[in-house]
Amino acid sequence: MAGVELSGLIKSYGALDVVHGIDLSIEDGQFTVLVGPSGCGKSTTLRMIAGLEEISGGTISFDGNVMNDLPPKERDIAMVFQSYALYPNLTVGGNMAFGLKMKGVPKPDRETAVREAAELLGITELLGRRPRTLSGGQRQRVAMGRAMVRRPAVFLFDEPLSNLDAALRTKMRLEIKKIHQRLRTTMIYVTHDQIEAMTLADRIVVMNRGIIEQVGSPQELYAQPVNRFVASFIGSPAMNMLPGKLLESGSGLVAELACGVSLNIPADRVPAYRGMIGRDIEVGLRPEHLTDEPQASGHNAEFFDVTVDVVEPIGACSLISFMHDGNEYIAQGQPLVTRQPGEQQRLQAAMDHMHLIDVTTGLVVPHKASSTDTGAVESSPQSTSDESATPSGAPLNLEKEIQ
Amino acid sequence: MRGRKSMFNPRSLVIFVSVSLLLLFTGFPFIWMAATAFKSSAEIFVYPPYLIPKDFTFDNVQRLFENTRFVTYFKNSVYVSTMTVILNLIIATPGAYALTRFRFFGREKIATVILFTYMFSPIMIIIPFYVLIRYLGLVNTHFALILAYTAFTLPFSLWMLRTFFQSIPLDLEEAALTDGASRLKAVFYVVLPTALPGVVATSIFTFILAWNDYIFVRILISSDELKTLSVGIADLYNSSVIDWGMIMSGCVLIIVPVVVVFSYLQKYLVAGWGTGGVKG
Ligand SMILES: Nc1ncnc2c1ncn2[C@@H]1O[C@H](COP(=O)(O)OP(=O)(O)OP(=O)(O)O)[C@@H](O)[C@H]1O
Ligand SMILES: [Mg+2]
Repeated sequence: MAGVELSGLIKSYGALDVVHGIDLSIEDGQFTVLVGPSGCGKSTTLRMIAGLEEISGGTISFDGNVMNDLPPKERDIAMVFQSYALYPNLTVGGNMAFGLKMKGVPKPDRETAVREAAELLGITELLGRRPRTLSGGQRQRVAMGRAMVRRPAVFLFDEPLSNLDAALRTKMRLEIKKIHQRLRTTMIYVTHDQIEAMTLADRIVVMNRGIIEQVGSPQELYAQPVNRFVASFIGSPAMNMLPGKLLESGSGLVAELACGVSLNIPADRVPAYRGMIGRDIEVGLRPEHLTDEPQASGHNAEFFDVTVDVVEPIGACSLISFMHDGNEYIAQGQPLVTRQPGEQQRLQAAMDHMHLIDVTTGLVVPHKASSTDTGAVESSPQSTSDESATPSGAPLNLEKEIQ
Repeated sequence: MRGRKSMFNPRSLVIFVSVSLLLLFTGFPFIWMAATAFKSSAEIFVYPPYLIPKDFTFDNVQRLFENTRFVTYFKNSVYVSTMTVILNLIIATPGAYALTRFRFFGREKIATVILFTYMFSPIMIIIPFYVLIRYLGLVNTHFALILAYTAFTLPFSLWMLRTFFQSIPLDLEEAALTDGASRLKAVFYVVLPTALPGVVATSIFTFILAWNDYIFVRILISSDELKTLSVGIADLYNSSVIDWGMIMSGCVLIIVPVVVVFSYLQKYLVAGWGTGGVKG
């Protein structure tokens, strides 16, 4: 078991900078997910932690011990690869025992450990088979087992589920979470799938183009994204971004959208947003805060009419797509109401859940609820529990991003 | 049923007949050789000739063992060929590994140039090679032969193993590294077993080249007790009465072990471990 600390971590391939100085502190026992679009440097970061990739700058330490120049075998880690990377020449049992064999654990103990892990994963009957005779899901389990047997200080996962079909992925996701709850070992998990990130993580690290955009619990990232990138990356379907201008209207503020609709800003946000008057903004509203309920349901509801484009019933609700000003947006409709494309529909926007985005900086303008802590990226391990509610946003560092 | 039917369609028939003819053409000398090996001296020159020995005899083999140094030649051949294979693998394995896994200046160029050297036939460099070996004081030693064969097979071995190493996913090695193996152990426990077909193929190639060589032995070896099979058997022609039966039985004995060993090793060549190490 170990806490992991990255500070000023840099990776460049020749002149190409891939990771631009990452600061991150991961508590012992925490499940941390690195998430971000393809090519943002998640795998590179993970591989640097594993010792598979040289570090171009900064430090990596486990429990205060600098790991920078240690080979993987001296870091006490285990890694699950996207490709599973099972040794084709060894049986499943041999694969799982390999790490212990390298450690010099005597054979009887190896067998006990392998058997235990195999039982936990339900792969006991596979122990004598070779990887090529296994299905994708079975291989995935074996890869997990191989990592677990060694009882490492840190588990590293690089998109371990992305080669599985959707149903199996959901199932394995749950199992990984269970394993973490059981072992309570530090786990660092890389994925580009934000749902996987949301469901698994104690803490999510959103990365983009080699920097960290924000760190926080799934709930924080969902409710209080610090910038446009995080706001639109987290959540599915994605947050609607309605462009417009922020104008004064009497004692209040109004968002004058490009499509002609104006939405009143809730009174408690007015002081925080006053500085944005006259500026180009976007109003961010998640689909579930843009509904077709006819009665105002509190939340400072605002109404406007749209023309239905496509309706996707998904059971618990329907997703209503509509076009506005050439952009497509999604609202959440009641499941039992049938609608036809082209129909007019009145939507209700729950303005208490809105996000105001400054178009020039790309930042979400903080208001009371989210402005308590938007300081720098967390720099020291906090003494809070896993489910810590401490917001810990990392505002977008534009200068770095532009480099 | 299906087989018989297709045999009679004209296309298959043509192919069948041509393949049979070709097989007969290439195989006949071997068949004749084997037949002669077991005919008595009297039978060999009977006219008209016939294939199957009427009077099947092991006399030829017996004479081969009693009157010649066949056993010594055979041992020499086995020794020289085996040592060549070993030396080759000792050099080519790390070499090919480095060519695929480490980044260094001119890596691809080196790989290409290596294959270039394979273009020269032995006869072109045999004189300089002899001079070099004499300078080193190695003339008339088995070590000289082993060096010569290694020099000749190394480019091909490097190239071949390189291709095999390239086909092994890097993930496998990295998995071994994160599993607590050093790089050396990762290579030994994971890379080499996975590249086994390549190692076997390379070994076969090297072994056959060394086993069949004539020219280097002719030039580098002068003592009779150091000769290998090819030259040893060829020198049996030198006597005033050429004992064809004995020579042919020697030839059979050269070929048989090679055929046996390689039909056994063949399964490693084609099978490998199959895929399934990586990907779903
Ligand atoms: N060996 C390399 N040489 C040069 N550039 C590289 C190398 N490896 C990775 N990169 C670059 O580094 C960037 C980050 O790669 P990385 O593999 O970390 O992305 P990722 O976030 O894991 O993406 P994905 O979700 O697609 O796996 C990419 O732009 C990639 O092109
Ligand atoms: Mg990746």
